[in-house]
Amino acid sequence: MKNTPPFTIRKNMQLTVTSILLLSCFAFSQQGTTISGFVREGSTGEPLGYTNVFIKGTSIGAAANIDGYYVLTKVPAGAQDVVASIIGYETTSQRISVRKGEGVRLDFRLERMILEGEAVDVFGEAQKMRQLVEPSRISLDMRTIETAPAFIEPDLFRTVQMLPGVQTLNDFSSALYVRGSTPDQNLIMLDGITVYNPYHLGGLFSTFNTDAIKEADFHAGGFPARHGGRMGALLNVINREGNSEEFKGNANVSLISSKILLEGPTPKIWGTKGSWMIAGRRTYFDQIFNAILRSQGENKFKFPYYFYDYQIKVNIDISQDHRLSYSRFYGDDVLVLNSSGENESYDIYSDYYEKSKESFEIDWPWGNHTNSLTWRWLISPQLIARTFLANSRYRFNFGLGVGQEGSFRVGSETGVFEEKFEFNFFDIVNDRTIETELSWHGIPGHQLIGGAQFKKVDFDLGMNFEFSTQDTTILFTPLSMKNQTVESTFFFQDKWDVTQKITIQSGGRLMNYSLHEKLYFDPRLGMKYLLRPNLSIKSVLGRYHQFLTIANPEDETLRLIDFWLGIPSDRPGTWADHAIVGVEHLSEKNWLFRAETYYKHFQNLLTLKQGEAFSQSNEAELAFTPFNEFYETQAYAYGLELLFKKTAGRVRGWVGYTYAKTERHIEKHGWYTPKWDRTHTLNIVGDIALDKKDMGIMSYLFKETHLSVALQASSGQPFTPPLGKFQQWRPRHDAYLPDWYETQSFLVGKKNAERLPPYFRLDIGLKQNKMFFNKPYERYIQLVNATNHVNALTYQYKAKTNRLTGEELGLERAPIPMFPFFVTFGYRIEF
Amino acid sequence: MRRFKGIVYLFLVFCGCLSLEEPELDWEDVEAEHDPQLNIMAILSPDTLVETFVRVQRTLRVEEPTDTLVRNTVEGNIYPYYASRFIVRDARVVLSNNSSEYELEFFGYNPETYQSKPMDVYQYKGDDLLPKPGETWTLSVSTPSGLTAKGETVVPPAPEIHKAQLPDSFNIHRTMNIVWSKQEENHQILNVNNRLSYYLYEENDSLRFNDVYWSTSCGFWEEHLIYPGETDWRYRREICEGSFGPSGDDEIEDILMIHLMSMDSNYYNYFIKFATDSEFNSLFFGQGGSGRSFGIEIGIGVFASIGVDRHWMPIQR
Repeated sequence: MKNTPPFTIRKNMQLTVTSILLLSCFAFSQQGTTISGFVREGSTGEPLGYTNVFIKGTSIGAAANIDGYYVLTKVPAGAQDVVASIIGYETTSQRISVRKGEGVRLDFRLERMILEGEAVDVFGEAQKMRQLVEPSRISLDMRTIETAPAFIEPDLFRTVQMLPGVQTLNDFSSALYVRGSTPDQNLIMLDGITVYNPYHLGGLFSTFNTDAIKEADFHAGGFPARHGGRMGALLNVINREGNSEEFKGNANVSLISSKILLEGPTPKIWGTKGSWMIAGRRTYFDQIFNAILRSQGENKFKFPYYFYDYQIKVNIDISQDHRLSYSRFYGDDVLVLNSSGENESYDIYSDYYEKSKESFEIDWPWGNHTNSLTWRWLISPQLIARTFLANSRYRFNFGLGVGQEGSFRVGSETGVFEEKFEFNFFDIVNDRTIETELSWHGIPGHQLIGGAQFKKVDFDLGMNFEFSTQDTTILFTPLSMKNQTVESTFFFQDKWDVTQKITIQSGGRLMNYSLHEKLYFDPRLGMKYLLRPNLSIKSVLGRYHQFLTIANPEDETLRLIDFWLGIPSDRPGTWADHAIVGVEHLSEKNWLFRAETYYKHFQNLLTLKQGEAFSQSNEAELAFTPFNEFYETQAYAYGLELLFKKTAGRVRGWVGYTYAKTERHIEKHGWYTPKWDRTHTLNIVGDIALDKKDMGIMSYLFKETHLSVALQASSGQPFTPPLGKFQQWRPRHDAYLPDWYETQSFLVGKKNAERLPPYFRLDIGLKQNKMFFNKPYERYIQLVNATNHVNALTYQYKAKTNRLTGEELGLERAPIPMFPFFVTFGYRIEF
Repeated sequence: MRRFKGIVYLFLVFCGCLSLEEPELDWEDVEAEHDPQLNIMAILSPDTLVETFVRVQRTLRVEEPTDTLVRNTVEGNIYPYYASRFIVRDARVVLSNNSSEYELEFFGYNPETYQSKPMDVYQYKGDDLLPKPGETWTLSVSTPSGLTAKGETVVPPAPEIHKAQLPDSFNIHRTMNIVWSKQEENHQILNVNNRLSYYLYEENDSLRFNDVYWSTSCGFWEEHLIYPGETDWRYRREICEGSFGPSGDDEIEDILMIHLMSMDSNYYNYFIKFATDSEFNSLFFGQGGSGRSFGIEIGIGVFASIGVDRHWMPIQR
């Protein structure tokens, strides 16, 4: 283990502060006539990112950033009509008078526009298409997330899994395998904070409560220099800020959990203004189960599992230029199982009497806790500083305790005894991040972003056994891997509108990883060429380094938890190169068409040696080292993705097709296809509003009713086929006479050489909005795997036996089915 | 709040309508393209107790039966048993060095020797098969069905325990340094355990036991893998709660066995280095692999050579 000397961090901090000051001075010196401000939604005060703001009758215009902030520079002096426009909202114009050299603050409140029979996409695809350079990016708002029928309840990851380029391991996992990358290579962020294990129930659900999500930005690859540290995809989940105008709330009861969300304005103290939002979710099956047990007089057994999560967000505008945001996420899965019993015995022959109490306990919590504080400072209209302090902790801690205590009497002698065995297996990842980002809009045609990030991560993976009696304690620690890493990163990014048609986004990340004595540089280059206003070609090249990995077996079928580790000092940093070319077209009828092709090359990946006891790198030691022995792995992935997406209208949804190929190489197996690879994937997701006016009686029945459909069909996943049988020779080294015996094993073919049967699943949902005593509520029913198609998790095998002779014949196999057909339903109320 | 409760109750009522239909599973025969090949385990040994032997088996296609029920009739009585289909009983097995060839014979089940002698092996009947350290030996196996395998091994140096540096007896309260002759290129393995002298007898100046697998007292068993260049190792009896000797009887003298075995690289790779390396492991399928071969060409398995030295001493309490 090696720590970065503190002076290095201090030096880096000094450099950052100096950079900020220099930039600030430069920015102030560049002030001209500007109009700047925020665009927000009228009823809730939520920022409206990507809104077009322009001066009527001129070519001066800009797009608001994700915070809804815009800057118009080089504005001519005099009276100007400033217009804010975004699809789905009333276009708003304000007339102001501007003097030369003056900076004017002008905020907008846009009212939602209700189009007859039309549902609109708040985050307008058209704006994004024109403004964003990077390909492979899709923004999902809550409406889009809920477009697909839910598995029990709406889930962000389940929706992302339906996008092109994203593959799944199985029905039981919501983990994202994106363009050849494994889930640990994805940067999952909640309000900018890294979340290490964003799953509940072993991956069945994601930890993100969809009610609280404002928007989720998903980059399948090629994300810009602003983000780094991972080499796969990026999913940035942004929570709602909360309603700054009035107190609101909603509650939701699904098959497994109940959710509640409350939001409202903060008290106006010392002229501050702000909003807050709190959202919580908990499974309730344990409570119902326990209540039933209690009613039947059973008090000892309790249902052992539940999960919960809650999110808090508070935003306070201290002044016009300063805003503080606090964001907190707590989510845990908890498995608690305990039992105890008392025994009493007496042996009449020896006159031995014993009374004892036995106990058994499993206590296993795992989950994420995050906190962040963001300070946004509008140093000048053109220069925005955002400083971010965050802490993200992931931990699982499996504890098992077995104990016995009691007293005995033999004749007239008495005594007591006590024995206790405890086993602990834990992994704790503690990530502390400080980051400063400066966005500068001072040069027309350029959007500059620069900053620094310091990320200190403590990894603690360990296992210990403790056996204790009344007078003796034996502690055994077979696994103790503690590590502390510091990633110091400087990043810069410039989006340059070279001409009206060509935009170039360039940047880079300069990184230092504390366990390696070298600097790493990740260049990023993106380009967009507008063939027509609604047709563009986009391309990206970039390198992506990653300095942490998970030590989970590659071939595991079901994964409950992740074991995180920093890249060891004797291993090079893992990296991937992304190359993406795509074309994007947005039709006038709101159809988005996107075709993309990509190639990814991975180097220095680590694949855990599964179940191997021998360390080849150090033959002097024969040690069982299950978590730090890896195969060096190379990989490449390429593919083609097509997306047709309709974001507005009576019928919304998308059709996606993915052709993907991933190959990995380790010395042991040569090149092979990983388990998650699916060559062809077709996704159809649709939401149809059924209440058409000219349907007569049906229009009454289907009033405010939506039918949603999700269809996924894909190639089967690879598996290793058995070819034959043989006897494996084994030694029995004995001090008198060595001996050799045999055990039957299967001869297998090349790793993952065959594929399971194709996957097919059709989910159908019906959702209806109703009123109940003037309170709106929503009821829904979902049919999961409506065709009851048997999708194979893997194969199960059994030997065929001749019933008459007992002879062992060949082998039979059958798929282990994943989700069968089932129905879920729930309610959501608003108040 | 009351309304909220009502919704929860309503929901619970609906739960009764929850439908979950288990799909029916179709079991299918597994078939695969695989051409059976020979699977060999051959140990070349100059030791008097560990005799040279070759086991010849073949791999089976996944759809083939693994055994056959045989009804053996002896004096009118039927003795049924299952004969393994892996075992090849009619192979021609030849061991050779630069100067001589030795053809081995198959020894199957023998009711008189099945407890003391290995069965279903090929062994040499004569007494002139004497591998010497440094010699290169080859193995040739062919079957009437046309399967063949060839192998080669280099006999390792003979191991040597420095008996003069060992005490006359082992005191269970003390440690003991075991010293041996260094081998520069070969691995060795040292095994220490105890046996009850009750089962001990001597034959042809060798130590023999009536029962090979008689369980031993706990705490004595130790195994130490010796890497090239190593010369000594300290042995001690581990703390153990078990009794020492039958029923903890102090009167019975016990003996400590020390067994040192040298090995060629084929033995080391097959049985030690990659012994626990399951190439394939599945929760629903079990372990598997390519079968691996060390010292064997064409087929799979291992052709290895070993050398043995051993020593014994009484144990003192």
